[in-house]
Amino acid sequence: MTREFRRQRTSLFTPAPVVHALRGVSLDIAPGERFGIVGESGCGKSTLLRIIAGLDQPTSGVVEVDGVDIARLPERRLGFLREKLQLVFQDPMSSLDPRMKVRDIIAEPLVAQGKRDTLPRVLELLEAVGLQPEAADRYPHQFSGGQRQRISIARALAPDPQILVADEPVSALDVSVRAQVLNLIAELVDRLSLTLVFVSHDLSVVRHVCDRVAVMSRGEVVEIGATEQIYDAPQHPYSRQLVAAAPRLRAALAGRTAADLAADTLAAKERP
Amino acid sequence: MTLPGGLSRLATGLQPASSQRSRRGVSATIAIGGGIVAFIAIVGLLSLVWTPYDPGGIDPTSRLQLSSSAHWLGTDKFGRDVLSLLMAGSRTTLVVGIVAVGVAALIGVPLGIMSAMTTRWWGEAVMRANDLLLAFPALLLAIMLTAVHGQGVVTAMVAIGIASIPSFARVVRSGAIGVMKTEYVLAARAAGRRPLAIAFRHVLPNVTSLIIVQASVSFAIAVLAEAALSYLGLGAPPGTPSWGRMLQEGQELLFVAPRLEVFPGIAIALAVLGLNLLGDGLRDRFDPRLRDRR
Repeated sequence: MTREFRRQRTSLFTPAPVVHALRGVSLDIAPGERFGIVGESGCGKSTLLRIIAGLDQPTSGVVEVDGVDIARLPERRLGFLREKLQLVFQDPMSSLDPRMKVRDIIAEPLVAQGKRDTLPRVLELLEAVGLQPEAADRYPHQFSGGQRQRISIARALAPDPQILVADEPVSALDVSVRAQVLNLIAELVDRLSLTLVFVSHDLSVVRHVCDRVAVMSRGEVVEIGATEQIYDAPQHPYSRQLVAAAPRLRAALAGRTAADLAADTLAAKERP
Repeated sequence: MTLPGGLSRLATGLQPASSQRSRRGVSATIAIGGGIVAFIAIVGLLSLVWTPYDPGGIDPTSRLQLSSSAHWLGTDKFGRDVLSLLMAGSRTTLVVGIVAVGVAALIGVPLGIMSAMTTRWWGEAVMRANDLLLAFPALLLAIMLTAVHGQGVVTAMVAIGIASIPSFARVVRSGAIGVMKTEYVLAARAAGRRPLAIAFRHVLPNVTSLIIVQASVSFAIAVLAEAALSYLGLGAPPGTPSWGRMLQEGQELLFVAPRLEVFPGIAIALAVLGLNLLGDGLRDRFDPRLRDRR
């Protein structure tokens, strides 16, 4: 699958430059799998995710969900996907409408499907993500980042999806809350036997929840494999670099300086 | 506090002093501006049931009188009571402002939201048409409409309203583009929300503050425009009390009885000042960075 974006024209006489956000990405995610996608910022993780979620269309290629190609379907024909697949976003500040009460936010996927009398379900979901029922009548800004992310998870679970797609769900959170939210996601995925697609730039976070990982770099998937395998024996130079970069503290204690790491990075980039 | 300065303050942020005031509730700017606007509105309503004299009552025996206990602000060349005329004129001002802003908002807001939400060519087309209208002088538009539909308050209101569409469309569009980029709109799409539902449930509520601020600014512009049109004889016809008409009728006596120009002039200035203060105050209050504190 590929995805290209046209940049703003810089001259009247040359065609608009093209950015290759994804080039030849190919993935298979099995039902019930916890699949991680890692890579640095700008490597195309989020673009890939949006395409999987049917929020963006690939320039070329096929995205099959249960055998249906969603890549060429217009948005109004994606109803089945909206029931089956839900998202948790990165920024707990911007992913909840500041003008809506929590009960309306969580009920939104249900209302969109034409369901009425959503309050019982909303209360059930609040309990499932560890929030008080009183939260239903409050506004998003009255909650902390971790709580907001719980609301976001509750909204995603509202239509009883089979696939949960999480776009860096904990990277905007404090380290202290991060583990709680991660555990909540892992626990809910287990309990509801969901398929999880989890995107992060942080390999240690992905390791915490995923069975299988795809490593992305510059719009390409450079390595796919079991989490432990990639963590313990990365094959591709970029994966190795990523794994090496993760436990910075230990490396720093071993006498490696930031300059060493920068030199490593440069050397890795120069490699073909 | 300039008229076309528009929403520049929104981008530059907020002085700490006014943010403290906002937290206590109503800022001094809103209080003063709102007070002036409310005062004019009350006077306008009052004039429906009571004015010291009949605003249309011509009395040749008491022409061009100075302020006295009988006529607080004196009389004009037809012997009409200036205070009564001013009171009745505020009605015209308010009605013209409300209708003009209403027309502009009803057309401009949907256009702005639609052009922000679509990626198709016609979203751009709408905005280019908008630019065209923006470049077109409001006065010329009013003269044109008057030539076609005849002189009258309704023509003036519609003309001012049409001329105010672009500012609404632009302000709303820029706000709506920001809203469309947020993850909650993405989440709504992922939830299966149709574009119309997203427009009403997410975009519109989140640009309301911009609309309110723009409405108060446009209202002030409409007050000025109505006065200008009536002064040129394109607005309120003779017999309809209007501040702009009063200016025009007093003009020939500028050196004999300058107060005939001063009083409606003060009324217009006061109304515009009040509306601008209100708009400024509301803008500060609705600053997105204060939203979390509310």
